[in-house]
Amino acid sequence: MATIFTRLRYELRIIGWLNLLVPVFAVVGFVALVVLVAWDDLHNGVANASVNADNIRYLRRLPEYMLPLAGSIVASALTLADPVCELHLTLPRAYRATAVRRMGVLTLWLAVLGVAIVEVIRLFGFWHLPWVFPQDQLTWAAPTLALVALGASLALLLRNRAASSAILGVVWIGEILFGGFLQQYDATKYTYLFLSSEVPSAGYWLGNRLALMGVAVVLLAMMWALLGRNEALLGNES
Amino acid sequence: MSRQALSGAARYEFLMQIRRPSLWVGTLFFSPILFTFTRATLDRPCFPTIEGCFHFAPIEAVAYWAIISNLIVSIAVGLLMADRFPRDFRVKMDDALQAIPGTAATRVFAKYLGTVGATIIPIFILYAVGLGVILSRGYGPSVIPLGVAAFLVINVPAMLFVGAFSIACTGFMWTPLFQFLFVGYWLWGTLNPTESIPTLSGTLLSSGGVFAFTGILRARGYHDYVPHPSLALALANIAVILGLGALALVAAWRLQLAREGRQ
Repeated sequence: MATIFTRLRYELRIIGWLNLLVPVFAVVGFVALVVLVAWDDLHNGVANASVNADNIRYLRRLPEYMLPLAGSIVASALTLADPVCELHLTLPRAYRATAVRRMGVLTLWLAVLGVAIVEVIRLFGFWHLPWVFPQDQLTWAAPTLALVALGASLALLLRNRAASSAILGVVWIGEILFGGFLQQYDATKYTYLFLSSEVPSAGYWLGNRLALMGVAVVLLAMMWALLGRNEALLGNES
Repeated sequence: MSRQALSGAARYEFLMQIRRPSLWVGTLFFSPILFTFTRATLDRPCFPTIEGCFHFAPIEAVAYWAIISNLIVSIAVGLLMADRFPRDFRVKMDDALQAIPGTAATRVFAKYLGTVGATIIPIFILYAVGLGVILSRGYGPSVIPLGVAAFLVINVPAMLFVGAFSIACTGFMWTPLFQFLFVGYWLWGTLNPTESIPTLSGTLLSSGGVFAFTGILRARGYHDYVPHPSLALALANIAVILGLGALALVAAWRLQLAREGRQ
């Protein structure tokens, strides 16, 4: 047991507090904006009911928008960041196992944040989505896993953090801006990341969440395969 | 800052960026927006706006393409440039760069000019393919000069602006944090201002190209919230964002000076 905690602490330190704080900044910034809007509306005589409806509409986007973006950018930075990768490759324990464990620790942290966010929003009475625990956690879990897996495998595939975060950023913004358009085609509607935020009443919500989990599994398998290319891991960032 | 050192350093930075496979592979990944653009915009029988439903003239087809590609691709420009400064420290190049002719100003401005110049090239190629799509839909050869004009007044100022902040911020900020904040900023800055969230979009500080769309290109029907900006307002918008970019670069230069002074 003690070994597990030592390892966990070690991995957390390798990931670094700054990386772990990126999703926290995301959440704090988002909440601050929502509070600012609500405060401004209330002081300008907007009816309570309408402010409440706005809060519900904005806050359901918080976990689904923010965790995937912050988590995936950190994931793509982490997979290439180990400064003693050469040393790792000489150890009996495969680097692959270490990298996957590190990704697991990051995902665990995102999960803790995700559950906490949903439960706090619910506590304040702003969570009005039709699903119950534990299904409702798929609002953030499915897109977060899919994008984290995408970030990690893109970073390994392109051997470049900047390029992989560029693609992540474009995917994220594109999915938000072209959301309505992406609902028109089966292939894109089942892999649409922000369905709970944009079309919470969609009949294919569960199908969409499961499809996203499927995408995450495929991408994780790709990451697993890419982590086995030792020469590529040792090479410089391209 | 000698001109020779500046051009030499800028050429070095240009080659460093243009030879990165990830710049090209990354751009290839954004090509689905071509499909999105075509299906969402060009294939409509007519375009509904508050002023009524109208058919696209060539200028509208290219101006829409410029706006849509700017919305998506400027993100990529900012993120692809985000590792240029931190990379110098990571691969321990900063000391070597300081030993060659040129001042802190040379290093910052050359990095900016070279990197942004190289990053614009694949983006322009993607944009040109989009112009080809518009041409193939029978909009006529005027699409080419109009398309280049739209790129110059909408995309180029936005990329110069974004690139300057990318170079300046990553000089002192943790790169993943910058990248996250930048994507968040971009979404926030493109929100529809009627959404009751205070946003920069629709103001002179916005780099979305909405002012140039109507004010310079005289295209119809994009946004309802800056209905008819004048030419002067559109030029002011471009001047403001370029000025902000310049301010960011000056800040980056001062930081670099301070950093070199400490060593």
